[in-house]
Amino acid sequence: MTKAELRTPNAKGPSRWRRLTPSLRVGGLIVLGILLMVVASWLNPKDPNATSADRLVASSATHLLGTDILGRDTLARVLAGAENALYVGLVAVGIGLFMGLVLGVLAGFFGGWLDQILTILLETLYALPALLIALLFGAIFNPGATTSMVAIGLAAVPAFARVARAGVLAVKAQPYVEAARALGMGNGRIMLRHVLPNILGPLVVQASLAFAASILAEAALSYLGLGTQPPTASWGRMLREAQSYQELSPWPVVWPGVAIGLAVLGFNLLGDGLRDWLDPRGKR
Amino acid sequence: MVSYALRRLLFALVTLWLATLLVFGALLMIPGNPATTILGINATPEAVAALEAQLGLDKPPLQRYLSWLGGVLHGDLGQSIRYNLPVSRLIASRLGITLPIVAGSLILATLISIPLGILAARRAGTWVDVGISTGALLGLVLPSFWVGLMLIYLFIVWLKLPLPSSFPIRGWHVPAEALAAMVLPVLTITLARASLLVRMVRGSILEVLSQDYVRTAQAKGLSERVVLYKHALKNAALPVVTVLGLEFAQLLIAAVIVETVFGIPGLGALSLTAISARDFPLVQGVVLTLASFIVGLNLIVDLLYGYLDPRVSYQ
Repeated sequence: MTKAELRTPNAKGPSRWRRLTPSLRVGGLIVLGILLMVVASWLNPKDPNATSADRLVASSATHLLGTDILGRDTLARVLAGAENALYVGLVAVGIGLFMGLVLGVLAGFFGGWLDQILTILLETLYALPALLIALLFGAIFNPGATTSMVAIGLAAVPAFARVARAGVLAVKAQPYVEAARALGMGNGRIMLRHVLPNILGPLVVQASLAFAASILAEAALSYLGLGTQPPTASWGRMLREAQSYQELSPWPVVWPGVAIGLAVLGFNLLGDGLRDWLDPRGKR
Repeated sequence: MVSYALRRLLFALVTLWLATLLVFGALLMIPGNPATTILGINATPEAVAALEAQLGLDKPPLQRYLSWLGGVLHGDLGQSIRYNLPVSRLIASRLGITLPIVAGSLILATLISIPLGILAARRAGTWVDVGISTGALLGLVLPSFWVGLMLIYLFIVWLKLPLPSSFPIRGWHVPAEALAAMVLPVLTITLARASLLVRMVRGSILEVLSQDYVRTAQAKGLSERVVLYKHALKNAALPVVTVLGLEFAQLLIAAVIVETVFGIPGLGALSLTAISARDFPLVQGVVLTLASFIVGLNLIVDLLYGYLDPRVSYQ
């Protein structure tokens, strides 16, 4: 039997999985776990906002992660919080990715004064972290989920723009862009057909890292009362409420924190792993 | 170097000016009459008119902006509606509480993370490194305010340590009590923020240790100590300085959040009060102050970077 015959398609499965870096594997599994939490939250017959007489239970057969001071099931609330975190993350990263991509590509592609103006604008935005934008928006409108999502998204714009701009600068110097131009392609088509597909990799990495950051930011804003408002279950909000009766039972404080940590770890590892995986030099 | 510094300074000033435009422009975005929004629907027409005059709403936006900017340049951030005191005075007094926390955390985080980072890099791949790196990863993914809540439980509820759970009302007039109240917040922020520094120091030293000149130094027969401290550390410092500068901005934001956990009346508490009272001049003042700190720190980092690394191009 020759070596070539030994390589059947069936043998490919595990090796492809093993070829992924550890961080990609662990990160991917955690993110998958978070997605499953959302599904579990939809299938869960327990209403995360339903109160009961079982107050501050540490852990029991009916309440695996216990209950809070109103007798609400902590597990149901943590699962519902996962949905909220993913929703906020998706919207915020969407805003950051879209605006950052447009501004970064424009700055990198056209260069010159446009680049300089956009760089200064983005630097200004960079000096305003999500918390400050959320403070401003909270004063103008009422603090809430929408203002916090927009604030987190806007705060993510500079990082996306920087990644996009650097990518465009590298791609712009490639011979195929020159070739496209020589063939008479317009700027718009070159950007969409040649530049965009070639800078997607680093942007996906940035999106994963930004997702982790936005989960942390959402939790912080909700904890401060500037984000998701009651009764919606949000990890940060749960911590804010549980703090007031912390000395009676620590568990309602512990679990949302664990959930935040896991979700942030998952998206960070996924981003790091994707970066190593996409890096042709294969540093690790 | 001088022209590079001047360019960076100009850039920072333009950034700050744009920040004032944003912060002021936000006021124009308030739907309806800001005076009515701030005072609520039950306000008397006289009160609304008085506030309108105080905010200068009877004048056109450009004129209002220019007079506000003129005030800002003189350190006058307007009058707080909630406290009826100058915004700058309120912010200055709260900074006296927030800045010591930030400075303490930064010093402690640096003192902890540099030795730990060096240790992890020297023992790369061993259980010491795995332990330090895992700890640093935990600090990176866990929210700082949650770490604070856990520390409260550990030290105050469980171990029953005699740490005050709030800041003394008389503040710095009772220095011992004020300092004691800062122990847990500083510890919280340090734990949360030292992680990035540890990772940075470790990565930076490992990178330098793989350079040719380090191999040359080792080949010359220099001891590991000399190679590490004379050759590697100096060169590894550059990226660490950058992170340290960026860290300061993160620390400031973390402090604003962590203060809330411990009920410390610093800038964080002030901004939350300002939001719930819709005290717009105060919100503007806090946001502008924090943004100025961040711009200033970025400027310092850039200048330091240019000073430390002669290769930085001054284009």
